[in-house]
Amino acid sequence: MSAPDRFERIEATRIVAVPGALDEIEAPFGGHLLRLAPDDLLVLQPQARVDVADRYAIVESEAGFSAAWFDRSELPRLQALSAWEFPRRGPAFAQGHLGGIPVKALFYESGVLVLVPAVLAHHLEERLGVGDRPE
Amino acid sequence: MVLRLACPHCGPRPVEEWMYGEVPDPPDYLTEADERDVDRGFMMSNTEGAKQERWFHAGGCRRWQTIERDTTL
Amino acid sequence: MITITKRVFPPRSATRFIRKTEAPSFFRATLPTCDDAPGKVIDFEGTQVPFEKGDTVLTAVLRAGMRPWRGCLCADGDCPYCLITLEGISYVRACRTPAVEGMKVESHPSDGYPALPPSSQAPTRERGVGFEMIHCDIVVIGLGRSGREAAAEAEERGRRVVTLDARAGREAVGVYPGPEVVARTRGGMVRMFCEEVVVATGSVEVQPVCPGNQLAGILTKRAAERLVAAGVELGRVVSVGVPPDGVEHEPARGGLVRFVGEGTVQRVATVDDETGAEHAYPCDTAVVGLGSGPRDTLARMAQGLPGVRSVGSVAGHLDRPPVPEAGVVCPCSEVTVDDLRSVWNRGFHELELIKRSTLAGTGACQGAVCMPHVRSFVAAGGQELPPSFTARPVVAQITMGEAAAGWYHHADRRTALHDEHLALGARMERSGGWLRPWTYGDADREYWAVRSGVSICDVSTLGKILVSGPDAESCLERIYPATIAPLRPGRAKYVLVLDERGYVFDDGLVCRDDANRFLLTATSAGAGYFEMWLRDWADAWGMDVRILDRTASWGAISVTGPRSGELLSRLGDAGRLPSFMGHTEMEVAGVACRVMRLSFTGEISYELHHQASQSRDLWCTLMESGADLGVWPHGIEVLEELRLEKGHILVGVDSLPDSTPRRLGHGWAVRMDKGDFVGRLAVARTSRMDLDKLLVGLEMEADPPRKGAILRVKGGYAGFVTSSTWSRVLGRSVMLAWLYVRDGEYADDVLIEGRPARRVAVPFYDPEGLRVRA
Ligand code: FES
Ligand SMILES: [Zn+2]
Repeated sequence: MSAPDRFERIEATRIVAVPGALDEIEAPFGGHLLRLAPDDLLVLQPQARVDVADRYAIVESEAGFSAAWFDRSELPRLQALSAWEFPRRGPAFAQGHLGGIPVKALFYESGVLVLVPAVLAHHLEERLGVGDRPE
Repeated sequence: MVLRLACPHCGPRPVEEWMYGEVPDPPDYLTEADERDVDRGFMMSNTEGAKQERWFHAGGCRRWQTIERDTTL
Repeated sequence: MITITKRVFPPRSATRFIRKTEAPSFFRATLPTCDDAPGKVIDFEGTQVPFEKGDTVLTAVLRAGMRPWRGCLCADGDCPYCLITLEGISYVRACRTPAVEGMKVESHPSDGYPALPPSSQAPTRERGVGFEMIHCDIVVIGLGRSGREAAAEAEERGRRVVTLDARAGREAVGVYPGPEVVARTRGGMVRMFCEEVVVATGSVEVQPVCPGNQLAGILTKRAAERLVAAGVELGRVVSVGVPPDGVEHEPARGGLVRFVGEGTVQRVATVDDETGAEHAYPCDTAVVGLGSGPRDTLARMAQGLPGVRSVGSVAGHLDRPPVPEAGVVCPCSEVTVDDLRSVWNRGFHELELIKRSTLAGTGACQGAVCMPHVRSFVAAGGQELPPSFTARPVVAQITMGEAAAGWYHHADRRTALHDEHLALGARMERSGGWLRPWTYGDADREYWAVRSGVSICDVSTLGKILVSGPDAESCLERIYPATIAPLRPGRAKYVLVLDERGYVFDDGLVCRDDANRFLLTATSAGAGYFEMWLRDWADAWGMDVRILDRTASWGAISVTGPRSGELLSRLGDAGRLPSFMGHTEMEVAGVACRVMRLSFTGEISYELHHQASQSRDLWCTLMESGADLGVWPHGIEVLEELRLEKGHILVGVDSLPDSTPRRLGHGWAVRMDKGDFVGRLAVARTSRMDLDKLLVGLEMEADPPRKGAILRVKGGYAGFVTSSTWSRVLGRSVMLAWLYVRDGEYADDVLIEGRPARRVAVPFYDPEGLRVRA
């Protein structure tokens, strides 16, 4: 079983707009959409160029998350640290606490991409047993 | 532990992910404005049974949800 | 909440669901295995006790011919008699502990109170208790016949079933709404989330109550059967009541009167029901079969919870034992029948009262032994019996480590500059939910860099919230007591945040970008709460706004000191730097920044807000290009001094939970001549009241008093210090303090820690504010 990678800060795009405007947005090529809330969308692509049909929309570069990929074989171990059940089939987005840290997660058949606020990434690494950062 | 609240956006989540909404809930017999203000931290109507509450889903969507909770469970 | 730092690393095999009810062990990999190689021993109070495969500590010790446990053993986890201290952990049951080579066991002290473990046994990262969470459809608690049936039936329906069996080391300790079951296993604690819980915990045997029932050598019927099957020699056995199966014994006729012996039972006395004649039966072991009652603690805990049902004998009824006449009823709390009579005669006739006055039922077994007898006693007195008590978690003694398993210490956030601080030798401290540099080692250097040169400070922790929308302005007008409408794009304004009672709970800035878009700042510790506050009100008012918290996504570096402008002009277009209380978007060292000019330190200050991914580049460039200007970072220790010299309050440090703007001396930050805002009514009301206390500035010679030091006026209490520091630049101590009105006035001179202090106007330093506008 390969050890998961360390969490790395990612560059993405954050869009806060009326729900209707976010519904219409399609994933840009190579990007993924994470609907964090009805009026809040995270696009996993730096400076994504998307049209938002809301003149008051907040569109911002998002550097606040770190991410790491976990293979399918790691899923049971992660699930054992979560009080909510992972989606049974991917692709699916879910968010909640993992090991007591708030995460956003994209589940695929082959594994899961876990996003965590970068300011908390070191705690999640420790709780998931990722890397061996000396204290 | 214990309580699970269903977030309309994220799904059912344990109470650890939530913050309680501190809805002012002074008992009816307090009518004087000062008394209601001062006592709202301490005096609750203490409803038994189903009750509408505001909960903030801090560990997920970070939005307020109005959730009905059975206080007897 | 109990918080213990530990690494949680559940065993990998732990997450398999069990499909087969016959071999149910999701913790098999971690179960200690009983080695059957000959010559294996456990250490029982210094004696080397050999054991065989399948032995518990109880069977091994009894087989060795020792009788260390008094009272009627049940060998099934119900009675409080076989308690041991295992490797320093107390309240462990010998009958539930598999024997493992070299294990150190002591019996529970006779006074019932084991010593606290030495601190060297405190849980550590390495010794942390394992923990995991399991999601399934059905949890079956207890694997007797009805439990096995329920599990098999659910499996047939294709449900995911988890079974718990205390005898196999998987012991349910609590049932919660959800439903959720918490179990202790030999691999650690497990939380199970499911749709259905089946409680099939079976029955508990009735214990004998009569003189001598605390002697060693007494067994329940089922215990005798189990021990004999395990190869324990019982010697000459006399049985009372229902006889044990498969155990050679002499049946005693009649009802049980007493056990007689010295430490260990030697005779059982019974009485013939008809003739009243007593018989004595010499024996080595006495076995009692007095019937049973439901083992219903978990069922009572789950009473009324949707999704939980009881099956089998746990749902059955109690064989109520005969009314106790004499002897110990509740061995856990050492309550005798005489004690029950004594409280009864003093007027305690209700079960609840008897429990509270004698403590019967409150011990290690939580009434499993004594409650049936106490109920019989109460019923005999003609009292109506209430239903069994509601049970609360947990049903077994768990350790602090087990209680804390899966709960983490508070997660301190780290800014993107964490490693830079460490590289500069910073001492990191917790502050407002963040780890922040307290000092880089030389406070003098940090201080004078700000006051006479240029310094930088990591202020990424500041709350930063974007608000946009057609209602943005009107929403903020209602949130803040200050006027927002006159604020022009590119300008910033200091604001208080009030709750409905008119008390200040946060402060910050409002920066306007354009007609419909603002950036709000909040204190580092209060940012999360402020976001909730803003969203809650925006919801309540139905405001058309979009809100985005940038606190963790943007870094912020404050560049402060008389030469800060000089440093920034090397890295960006000096002509674009904003004037005091202004903000603008510009590049600094190639990094896109929102630059705000304000002042917390009392010197010219620019705050550079930027994407957190670029914090390190920006920080390092500032340090490099400012090297010849003597740039040096300052930590929050010095920052506290600097802001105090300027008389800036720290909400939450200098304020109290009932601080109105007026009490804080911030009445100027409230505008009553605008529309409604949160707290307006309360401010109007409290403004009509007399001012009873005031946050004031004080100064004194020599060393500063402690924070919290008491102010005295004419020998009486007159308030306390909230912040204090020795001012390097002024050469005296300055402080903020709450001053109470005394004899209708606020004193100008007070005593603090026996030394005189004077009330002075704030700011202490640069009162005209010439330096920040320079
Ligand atoms: S016998 Fe254990 S509590 Fe009474
Ligand atoms: Zn949610």
